[in-house]
Amino acid sequence: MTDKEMNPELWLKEHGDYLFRYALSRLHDTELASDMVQETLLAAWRGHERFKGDSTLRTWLVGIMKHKIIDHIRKEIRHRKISDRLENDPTSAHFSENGSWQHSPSAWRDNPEALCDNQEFRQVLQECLSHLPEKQRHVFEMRELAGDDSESICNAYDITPTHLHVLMHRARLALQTCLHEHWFGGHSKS
Amino acid sequence: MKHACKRVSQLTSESFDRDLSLAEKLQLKLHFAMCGLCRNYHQSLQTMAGIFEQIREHDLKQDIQLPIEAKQRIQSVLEKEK
Repeated sequence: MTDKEMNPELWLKEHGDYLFRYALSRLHDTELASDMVQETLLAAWRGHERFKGDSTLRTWLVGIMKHKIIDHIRKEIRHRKISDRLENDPTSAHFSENGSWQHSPSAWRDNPEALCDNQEFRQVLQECLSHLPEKQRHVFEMRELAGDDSESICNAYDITPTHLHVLMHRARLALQTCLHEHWFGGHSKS
Repeated sequence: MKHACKRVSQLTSESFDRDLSLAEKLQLKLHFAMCGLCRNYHQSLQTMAGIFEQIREHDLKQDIQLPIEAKQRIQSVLEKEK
């Protein structure tokens, strides 16, 4: 890093918005996301000797932020004791005794791009996401909306990959059913 | 096979999160060949994944900025630290 680049205020100016978006997409809270930007820049400044320059400054800052976010989620879980029992299998309701479908899933052939631009659909999607149990929703959103890899998510929520797969499966099945009922089944489609 | 569709729906979901083993892939392929409902389910999850991919790209392009008050606050915190 040149002396000119060694300036946390410049980091804020150049990467602040990006870091903010990164945190916001994972924490969904403006206040909290701003705090994360502050903590990240502070930690980066205090440890700037550790910046090796083998990655871009932004990548380095994002790496620090990633850990901050994971720490935050871990604390939050301990604090609020967000529990999710895996014993009750909610997917059982979708299948009969012998493991065949109770309802008939339909194939969706709509164009994802058009759906993404459709405000009415986005509302239905939000609504369906909000019905998921808390931890399932957090994990699912971190994976699908924030696009994080399985390893970071398992780290943040202190769960095994197997547990993650179970939560993702439950979330997908619940969403598939909810979206079928409220959109793809033909109800509010205009 | 007992519990076939239930088990297959879990595997179908996992195929979006990890690389399946060859045996698992074969199991899905064989099951899909004879089960239209699981084929539909797989297809709907593909569309779902596509939707979230679109939303991710869309949100990244959005011009969301760090609120100005937060920017000023962080600015002064950093100044003190220097």
